[in-house]
Amino acid sequence: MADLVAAQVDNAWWYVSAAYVIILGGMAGFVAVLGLRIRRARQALDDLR
Amino acid sequence: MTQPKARWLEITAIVVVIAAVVRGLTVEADVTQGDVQRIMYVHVPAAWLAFLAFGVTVVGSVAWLRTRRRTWDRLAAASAEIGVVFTGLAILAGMIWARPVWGQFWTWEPRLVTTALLFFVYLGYLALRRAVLDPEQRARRAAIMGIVAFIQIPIVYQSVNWWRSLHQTSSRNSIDGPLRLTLWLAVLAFTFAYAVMLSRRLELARLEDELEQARLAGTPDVAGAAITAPTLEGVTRG
Repeated sequence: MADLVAAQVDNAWWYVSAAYVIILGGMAGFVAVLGLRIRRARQALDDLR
Repeated sequence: MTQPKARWLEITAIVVVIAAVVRGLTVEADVTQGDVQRIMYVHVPAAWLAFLAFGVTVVGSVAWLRTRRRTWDRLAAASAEIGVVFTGLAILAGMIWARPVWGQFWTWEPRLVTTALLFFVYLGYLALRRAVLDPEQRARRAAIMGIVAFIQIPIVYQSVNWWRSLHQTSSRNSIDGPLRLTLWLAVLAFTFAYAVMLSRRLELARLEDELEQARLAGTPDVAGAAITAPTLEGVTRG
């Protein structure tokens, strides 16, 4: 029943776009934050040495 | 500086992820759900990655308890963090998919509730790691929690079979042909992405360990310093 209702969704691409942006953006954001944390950790190590 | 091997892994991951996304957006639409079903190509791989990441955490936890090598503890911690991120992303994508299909973003149905519990338990795992300062104690407690928390994975996976509700059963059995191929490509792409994230997160964990050790080595022994007798250099010179 739920599947039949979904088949009539007009703005399906809006939902698809939102889901893709959230997932891909989340992945890219996580990698970017990791890069930033690595840079900060290296900097802190250099400062200690 | 990034190693050449890691650089190649990153490039491969980017290429495969782009291919999977293009394929997911251009493959023929599902007969019953229409275009909205394309969300499956990011939602299912994200959930798969969360399971894989927590699986690696349990492997790292068991290996640490057996060997006491810091490398295993770092692996468990790094993978758990990635698992939490992907669990959160899978929940968000699932909510967006649920809105047109079920008519609401959230409903208290077994798969959703068990996945939300999984998310919060592993958030607790990360909080535990931050709360314990002693590296040995931290690794031991986290390893035990990492093993116990993994019990949830088969429960989450089987929840759609044990308590039939709104959520569909395994997507891999409900589709075939080009749609199934697209799903497998997306799973492969996300697995590559996981490998890149894990490699970076492990590098960060190694640096944080070095930093922690350097700070501990540089911290003066407060009690010892307090009982050290003051030098009489100034007095004797005078």
